[in-house]
Amino acid sequence: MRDVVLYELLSLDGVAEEPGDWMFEVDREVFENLGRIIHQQTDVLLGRKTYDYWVDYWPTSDVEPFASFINGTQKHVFSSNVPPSDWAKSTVVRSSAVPYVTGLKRQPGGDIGIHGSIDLAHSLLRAGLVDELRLVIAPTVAGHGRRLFDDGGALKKLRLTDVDRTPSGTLLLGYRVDPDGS
Amino acid sequence: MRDLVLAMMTTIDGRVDDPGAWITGIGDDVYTDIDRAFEDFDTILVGTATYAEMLATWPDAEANGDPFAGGSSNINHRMARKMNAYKKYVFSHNETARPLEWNNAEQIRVGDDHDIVAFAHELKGLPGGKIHLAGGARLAQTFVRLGLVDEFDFKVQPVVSNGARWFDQLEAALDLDVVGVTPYENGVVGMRYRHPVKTN
Repeated sequence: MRDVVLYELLSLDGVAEEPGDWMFEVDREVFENLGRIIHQQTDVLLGRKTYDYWVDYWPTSDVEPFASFINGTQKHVFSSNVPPSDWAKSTVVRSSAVPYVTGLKRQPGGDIGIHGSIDLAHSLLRAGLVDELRLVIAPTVAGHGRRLFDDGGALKKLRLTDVDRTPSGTLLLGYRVDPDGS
Repeated sequence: MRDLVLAMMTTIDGRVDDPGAWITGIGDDVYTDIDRAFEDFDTILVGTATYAEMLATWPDAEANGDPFAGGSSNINHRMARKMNAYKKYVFSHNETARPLEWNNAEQIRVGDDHDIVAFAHELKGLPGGKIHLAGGARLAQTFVRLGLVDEFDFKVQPVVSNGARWFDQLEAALDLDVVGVTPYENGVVGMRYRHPVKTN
């Protein structure tokens, strides 16, 4: 079974929406950490809002390592209709995310990444389909915005795998979600 | 002016209420650091429920030793001695102040925001050590909302759990400085942040 790895930029109060509003310094260590994580990923799951947001930016971006990765990696876009803008290596998935991702995990391949896509992250966390959390926590309290853990789900016990701190004070945390952990 | 430190256990998503529902394990390494942090405090602020929990734990702990399964009795005995000696302010919504049975404890009737700010500023202006804001959830939320916290010292359990979060009443953004991040056994992460500007 392949792992679903959720990578999310967060404020200290758990906000995932609009990182540009509260993540002011992104140092080299953040990009190196991201590079190691996406190196393992051969598929990416995207919600429709994140797709619409990113399709105007990433195809022409040279911000590495993410630009080459997100443009060149197979993207599964969860949407009830076909987005107006094309993006190479994108597949629109109109069916429900939970059975689709369950099936995708059984196929051969590398890690399956989720980036951004807060609604999708909520659904997959609730369904117990996320195996690993990679949280990048800015030293700011956003005060408002949509949160990663706001789904009213049951208590989840995690296993801490990585703790690091960059010079600018960003925390890099890794957690495994054990199958019997909730 | 002395610093006011919000030092609490939380979940990854910032929950601070009902810790019995989500604390998975606290090792000696966590207790050792909490005991060290206690060195800097001489005053503790708590709500009535937290006070009741502490009252059920600490006076006996100094007399009898280890109240915690898995904890080291020496560390907890030292913590108990400090806790019993601290000046304890117990925030209550009760109109009538009742005498408190614990040594050096005083009841403070919760007034409006203005009263709380005035109390905190006066307390910070007194000589002494740092002030420990220890909970519960509602008291922590109020002090965070009013911008009275100089330092945050979280021991983050490896758990996601919905509940009352320390930032739930906060609307304005805060830009903080990281003081330290410490991984502990049992997957607990210590996260310490400071307000870059003194709040008082």
